[in-house]
Amino acid sequence: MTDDNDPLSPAIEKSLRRLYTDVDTRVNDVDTRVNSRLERRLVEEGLLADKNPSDEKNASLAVRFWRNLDGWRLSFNTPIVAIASLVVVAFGVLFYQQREKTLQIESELKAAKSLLERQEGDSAVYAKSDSIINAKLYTDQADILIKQVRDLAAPLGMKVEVVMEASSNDASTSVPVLREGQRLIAVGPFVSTDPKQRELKELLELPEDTEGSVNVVLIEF
Amino acid sequence: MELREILVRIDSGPGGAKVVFSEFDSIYRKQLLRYLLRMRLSWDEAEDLLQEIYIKVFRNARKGLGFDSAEAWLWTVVHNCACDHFRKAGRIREKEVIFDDNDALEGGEIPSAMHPASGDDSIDECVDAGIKRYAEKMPARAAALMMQLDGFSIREIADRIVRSEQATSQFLFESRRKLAPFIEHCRPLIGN
Repeated sequence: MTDDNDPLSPAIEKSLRRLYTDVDTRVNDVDTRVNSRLERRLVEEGLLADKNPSDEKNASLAVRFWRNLDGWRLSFNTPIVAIASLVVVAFGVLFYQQREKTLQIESELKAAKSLLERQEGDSAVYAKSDSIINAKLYTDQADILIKQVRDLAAPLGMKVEVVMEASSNDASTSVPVLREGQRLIAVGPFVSTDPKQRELKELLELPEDTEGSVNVVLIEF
Repeated sequence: MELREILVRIDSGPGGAKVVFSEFDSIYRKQLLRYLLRMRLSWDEAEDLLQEIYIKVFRNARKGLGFDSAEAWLWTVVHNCACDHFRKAGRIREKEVIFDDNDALEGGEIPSAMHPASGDDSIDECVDAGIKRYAEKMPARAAALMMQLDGFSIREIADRIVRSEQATSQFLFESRRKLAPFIEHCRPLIGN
């Protein structure tokens, strides 16, 4: 490359090198940090992930959820988002507790229903145990019936007390063994030899041999 | 990390590309900028073109892996982008075959602006204008000469322009000869 026709004479080549040196100086002054403009363009073109995969892997599920919501580029540190997240968590806990309670009550109701079904036609068994439901009385006028029971029992020195009452509001929570429209009435004590108590027994459809300190009657209406 | 390894990561998807982006950027951004500026692009043009080069590299990484030399593929991409830029700017009258012997400018044609009456004040300005026209008209040759002036060996230049060493030597010789019409008129300014 040193023939006479070589246009790059030393002076020309020197000039050319000066031009290149000038370029090199400018390039060397370029910021060595990652060029965010280039990075952003590649992300826009879908050629580069928005977040570093290792960062993504280390991020919590909640953070990744927020990051992935298109159009919702809110930082997890944003107070509004943090508060909203706490509220969601609190509601979640309450819902879970309520659900557990409901499941428990449903389970108890099933057990009670099963127990009541077995009691039908076998009330004598429960009369002996004294404090267990022993009869079902059906009436459209439950309050009148209770009043009648009280009127009959009072002269006998017996107590008539509405132990539990299930309404539409608390049927499934406060008294699991009762369904809506049911009442538990404690009556007693019964003395089998007292002829005056027969009327009461008949009214309550209690078995003849019913006796004991307290009998609990389930009234369904 | 070698370019081939970087290309493998890029080819694995946006997640893999993210991992090696900073590596690629730190190794090649300055080299590419230097190349484009030496091809006498303005700073803004070089930065815009750099984006296009990055997109082509990241989009076509698999193609690069099909080459024996990933470096050669990269510089071919860079050179193609530069040629496209010149073509769009209307600076190349015909389509130039990349790193081929065919040049857009017919041999011996000297632009009128390159005659001594061009009004350049100094040798540097004259050479700058001449090399700029040369790069616009014969970017492949300008790039090869640039590498030679940078001290690249014939082997290294041959790798980059995907030629044999013998063909590269011949290409460089002809490139210097074809540069003559663009800077001959600067000789009288030597000593200014």
